[in-house]
Amino acid sequence: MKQLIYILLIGILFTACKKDKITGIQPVDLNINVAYNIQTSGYTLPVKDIIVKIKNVNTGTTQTLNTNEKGEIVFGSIAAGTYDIDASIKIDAKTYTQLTGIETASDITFNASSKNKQIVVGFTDVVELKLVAGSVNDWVIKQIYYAGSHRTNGATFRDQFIEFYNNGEQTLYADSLYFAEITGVISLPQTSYNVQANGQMDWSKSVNMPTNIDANNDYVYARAVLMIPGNGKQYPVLPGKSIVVAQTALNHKEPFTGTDGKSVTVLDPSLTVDLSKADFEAYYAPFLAKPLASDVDTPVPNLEVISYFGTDMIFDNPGRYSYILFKPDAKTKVKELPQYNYATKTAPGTTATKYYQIPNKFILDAVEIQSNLPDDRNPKKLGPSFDAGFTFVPAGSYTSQSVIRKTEKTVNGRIVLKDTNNSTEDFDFFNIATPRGFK
Amino acid sequence: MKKFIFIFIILLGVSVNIFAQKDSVRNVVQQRQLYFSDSVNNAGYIFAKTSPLFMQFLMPKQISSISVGHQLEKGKFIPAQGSNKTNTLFLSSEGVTELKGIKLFGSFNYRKVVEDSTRFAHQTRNNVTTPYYYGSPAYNHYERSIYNFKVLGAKNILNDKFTIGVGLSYNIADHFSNNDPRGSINEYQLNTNAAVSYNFTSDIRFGVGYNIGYGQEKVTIGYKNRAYYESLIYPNYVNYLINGYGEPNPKTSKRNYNNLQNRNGIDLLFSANTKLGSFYVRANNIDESQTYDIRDGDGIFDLAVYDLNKQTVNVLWLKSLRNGSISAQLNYENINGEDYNLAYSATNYLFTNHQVNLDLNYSHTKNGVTYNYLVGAKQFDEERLDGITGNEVYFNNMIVKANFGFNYQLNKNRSFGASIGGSYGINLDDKFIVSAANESYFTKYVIFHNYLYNTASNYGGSFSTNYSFPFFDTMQATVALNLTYSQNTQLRSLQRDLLSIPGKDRFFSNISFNLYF
Repeated sequence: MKQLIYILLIGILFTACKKDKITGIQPVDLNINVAYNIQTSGYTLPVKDIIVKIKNVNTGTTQTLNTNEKGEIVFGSIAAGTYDIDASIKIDAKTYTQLTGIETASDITFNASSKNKQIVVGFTDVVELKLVAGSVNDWVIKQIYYAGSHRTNGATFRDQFIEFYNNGEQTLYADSLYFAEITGVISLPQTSYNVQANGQMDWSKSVNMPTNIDANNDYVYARAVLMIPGNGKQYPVLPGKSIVVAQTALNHKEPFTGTDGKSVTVLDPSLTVDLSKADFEAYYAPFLAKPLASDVDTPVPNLEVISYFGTDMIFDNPGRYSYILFKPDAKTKVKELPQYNYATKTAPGTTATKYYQIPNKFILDAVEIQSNLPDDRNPKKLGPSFDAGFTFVPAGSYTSQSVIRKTEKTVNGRIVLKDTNNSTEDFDFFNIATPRGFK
Repeated sequence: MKKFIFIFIILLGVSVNIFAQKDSVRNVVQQRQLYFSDSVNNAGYIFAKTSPLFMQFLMPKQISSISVGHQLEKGKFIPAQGSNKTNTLFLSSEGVTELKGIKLFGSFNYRKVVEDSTRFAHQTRNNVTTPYYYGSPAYNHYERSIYNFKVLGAKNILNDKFTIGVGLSYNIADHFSNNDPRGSINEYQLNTNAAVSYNFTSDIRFGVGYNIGYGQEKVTIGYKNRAYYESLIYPNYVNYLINGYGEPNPKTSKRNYNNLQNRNGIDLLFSANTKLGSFYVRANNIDESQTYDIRDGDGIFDLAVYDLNKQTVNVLWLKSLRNGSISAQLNYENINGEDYNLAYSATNYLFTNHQVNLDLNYSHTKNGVTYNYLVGAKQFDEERLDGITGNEVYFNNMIVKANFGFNYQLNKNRSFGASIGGSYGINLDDKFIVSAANESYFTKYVIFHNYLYNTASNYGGSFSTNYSFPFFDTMQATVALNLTYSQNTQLRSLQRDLLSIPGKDRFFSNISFNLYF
């Protein structure tokens, strides 16, 4: 009996002496340095307490820390993986003026980001982030309903719309306001195109692209460009008000008669939207040999179509393209802007599609849209000065969801929407798209 | 499959019925039932199933049983991936006989398991150390149909100088959940064993055995609701690929894999019958390799590799005393698991588990009453390491237990038995390194929960009773009831964002109808 007890005790001692084991893979200490992209300026801006957020795009884990006085931060023992890294700091108007001598009435937000950053096992590099001030304008893109509604029970894509908002204090005029769906690399892995280090298309290698311009950083490229008509003072938009641009300005909850004389109905009206009170609509029938039956020309004013893609103003349901709102200077005619082919590795054919090259300086607001699925996301098309992040409808295609800019505050009854030029932070979503709604 | 099962049961029954008719029937069949009511006998019988070479010493010449019954487990004092409520219907049959000098054991077991709510575990319940599996936060209702066949045979040869034995175990199971995300797991396991012993004397034998086995798990996840299928908006229904012991990645396409298992190992066997009693020793080493792959039109692609090494040492000591008998059973088990993460071409996950269990049984019969006493202690520790996140979770626990029971023989070949027992478990040591930077659903639902469960002090009590009576003259029937209750007495304080913690208690019941013949 004693022997057995000794055996047991020896066994316990043997197992209690835990040996330290080491895995072949170790977590990573991620070093990030944040600085301002203003080296040529004669002033300095604070680098302490810049908010840095990292998000593992697959696991969804997030961590937010503030930089030290040198603009440095270490995220210790993080899992290797793919990360979205965002840095942001808001400098109030008074401080900004004191530091720079530049008069401003509104707070200035600086953003920097590195999206889909691969943090591999053994990663020892320092991630450098350069903060840039976003262009804050009174015009903002408020809502984008690109997902469409259920393909059987809803209206598929024909109920899509986009909404623009006057976020300022003065009345604005929508006349000659342009918006575009911008393009680039929309699927990975990519072998057909010349691409930049970030994986996005290297437009500088497009056929006939001038060599004396920065084709990738100073321009975006549009596959559809549309303009709100007007004589300059025809469509005023009061502060805190918006305009809704519909694909087809009808109440999609109710049956209507298509251009082929047949009734168009939805099985579940709750899945779609009433766009009968939209301000403008896209009407493509004049350009098409076989227009869509649902592309009815309603009494709502039509957009002027500069370039188009597809058979109507059909936004990409999976969210692979992004959107800009822009206004050119007085001397620029958008129709005369240059157009270029995709930067294919093999020479494009003579009939290959060309895309308008739109200077960044004309952009009033921009929103980067991405897929709801991390594995399906693409390199960003917009730089941090326009959109340091991206947004998406979490349920994906044909789910009635829209992305909606968040309300930041209300001033004397006027709703001011959040605009930090980082749509990850600025946007939320509606489960059912709601024209002129707020969140 | 059903035909095969029926034939198997009938064969077991017929082989013993023939014998039963030749014997003095009632007394004999009652003795067979009473054999199992002796805890020392029972310990030997169970031990004998570990190798065919022990059968002739630890199993009676002729005995058969059939059991049908129901088990209920309920309560939330469970690991994170356990089931809140489990109903099991079972049918089992086993028998021992001897044909032409060949000692034979055969068993069949069927279980229909209905798990009310299981999360983060689209798994079978017999590969729980693996780092690679699917899971989701939503509770799944799992149904499992599990069939197991086991055959052992042994024969003395060359004037009893040698004993040769073979064993075969075949397990086939179907597991599926009928709510989203719907897991479907088809499984089979085939394990074989061949052993030979040299009998130095009739009392001292030394043997070696070789084990070889194969298995496969085919796992598929599907959805009925396409809203869950297409997006990550409903986090409860996202299918995650767990690959280690850290945060998993959503797996939104190609949600299927095969797990091919190969294992082999050796047994060292020893038995001695001395004045100090009978000693039986089995030392076993098994190496298992699990290869996870996906097969589609483009070919076969490896996904992960997981290697397991399992070492066990089982020692049984039996001693007849003047007024009864005593047994001591010492079981030692050491499991080491190590993956090879193909994405990083390195080891990411390490699993270790050690167990030492000692049970002492004393049994004696006086005035027609058999008394059983048991005291036991079990020490076990487990560690899981995940390299990617740096997670390291370790616990070292001890359980002590005691049980007393009796079996009272009534007239007319009837008997009545009852037992009560108690256990107390405490945590001896632990380690918890889980970075807050890497915590999301899996960490909050599973890792935190399991740490709290495994480090909780707990106590339990059990009560069992049975009544035995003749059944159709050729069989002895027993109706048995077993109730077990355990409760945690104290959970650790963990200052983290806890989404799930172990509940207060767990209840287990088993009611069965058993036939012995």
